[in-house]
Amino acid sequence: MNFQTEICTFKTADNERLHGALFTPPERPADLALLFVHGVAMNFYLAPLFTFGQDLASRGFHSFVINTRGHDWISRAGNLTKFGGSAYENLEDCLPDLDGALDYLKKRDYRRFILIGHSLGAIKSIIYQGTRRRADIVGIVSCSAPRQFYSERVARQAGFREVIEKAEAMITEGKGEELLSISVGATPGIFTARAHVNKYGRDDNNDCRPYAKHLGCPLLAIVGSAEPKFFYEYAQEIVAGVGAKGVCKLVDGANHFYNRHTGQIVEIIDEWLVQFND
Amino acid sequence: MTLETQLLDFATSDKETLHGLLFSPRERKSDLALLLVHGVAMNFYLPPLPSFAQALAQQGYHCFVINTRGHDWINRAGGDLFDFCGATYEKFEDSAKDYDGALERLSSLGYTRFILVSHSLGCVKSLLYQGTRKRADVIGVISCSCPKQFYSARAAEQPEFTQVLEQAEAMVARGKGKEFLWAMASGAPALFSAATYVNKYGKHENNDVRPHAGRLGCPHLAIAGGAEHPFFPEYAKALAQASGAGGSYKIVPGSDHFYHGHESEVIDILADWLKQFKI
Repeated sequence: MNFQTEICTFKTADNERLHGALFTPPERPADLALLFVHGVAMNFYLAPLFTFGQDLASRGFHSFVINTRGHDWISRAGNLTKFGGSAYENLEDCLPDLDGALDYLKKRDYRRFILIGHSLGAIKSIIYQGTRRRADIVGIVSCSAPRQFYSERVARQAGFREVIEKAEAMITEGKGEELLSISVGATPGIFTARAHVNKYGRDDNNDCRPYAKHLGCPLLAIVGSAEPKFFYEYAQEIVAGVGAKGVCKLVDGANHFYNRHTGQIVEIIDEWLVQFND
Repeated sequence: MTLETQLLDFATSDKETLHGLLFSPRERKSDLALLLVHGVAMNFYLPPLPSFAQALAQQGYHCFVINTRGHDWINRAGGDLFDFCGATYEKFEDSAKDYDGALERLSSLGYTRFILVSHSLGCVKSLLYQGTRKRADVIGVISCSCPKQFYSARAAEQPEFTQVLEQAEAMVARGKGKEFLWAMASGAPALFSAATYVNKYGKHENNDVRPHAGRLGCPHLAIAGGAEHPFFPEYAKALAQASGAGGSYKIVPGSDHFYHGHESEVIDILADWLKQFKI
């Protein structure tokens, strides 16, 4: 099926201007839109979500793949002289970001929404709906939500406790906006001390399991079998929190970015989406 | 005119994957494409270039607005996305590979003639590129607010500049070229690795593009805003003069560096100049 591509701009309540690609199949008008939320330091045009958006649009789904303010490691923000990106965002910023994107879609006459998040974007999607409990969000797809909260990482990652202590000390000294090079799993990363403590600190506020209980809609969790084991364990725990409306799928051989497995995952999502057909 | 919008990727010879938006008017096929290149830490979807591209596509021009590897301050790079690049880390010489990759992508789509349209730092890159490559298929260059940012110009303008550069040089000499350095760029705070700062603004003055403007082998239009720092209009004039008979310049009265509120005037200037080329 043909689809049109439009680069759209939307605004958040705190005046951030964000962007996304909206894919619309002209032959199939719909009130349902899929909203895709990227992982840490990714953006709207990188795989796997961009590919998912295009492939699902070719199957008739209206798909909006967006930037959150956490796009790229460090990006221009505000009036474009300020600094934003993953290095600077707080986890709770996902609320105004997704509010803004959904407001934009509502203005485009969509009435029902499904959030599809990858990696940190999956955490954001679950936290968002667990907090907002919107009746117009009818489903969530969580692709490889990472188990990255403090108590888990302290047990798993040597040196993690010390990094958090260092970041906390920097904040106490008024150096919370200074940049630190810190890895996120296997990936090297860059964070301000403040953002690192916000995202991965002792409060465990990025453990999305408590939020999964309050979604009020079906959830599909997808994980690659080539990812570290804790991804699958966490997906099962999230699904357990959702209850009867939760489903978990393990994709044999897929890594965290689903290289060479995107077609298979699109197939899984497409099958799951059948329940939302008018 | 109905436009088709495609988000395309393209590969560079050193295996970076970059992205861009191609606006093509459905009813008007052409072998001519405009390649639009952003400024420091900008990208293919931030103003002003996408607005210019869309408006020009409405007038029949096929326009490809791209990311260079210097998009945003720090982005994910490399095949596995585990590396860092962006304006903080890019080197001037890398941009030639970015242009080669973008033009190759356009060639694979059937375009055979190209015009480079750039903003801010993108102008320096475009003039360096065409002044070096002298491609016969690049038939025009447009520079929108090319900054006069080479060493001697900045040393004369900015009291703190020489000190920051010395700091960067010392860091490079100590093997700390990848460490961060905060400095001013285009009047706002900017983040560079020490090695990139020396590469972009060092004493070699390799980003003084006036000599390159004289070697383009094609018409060159330089534009600047009347409300920018005076060195922008001065440099636009100097670049046009350096380009010889094919050079011209226009100042947009009252306009800032991003042409806020003056976009339509700039589009008119571009469209008027582009009339010399058959679509």
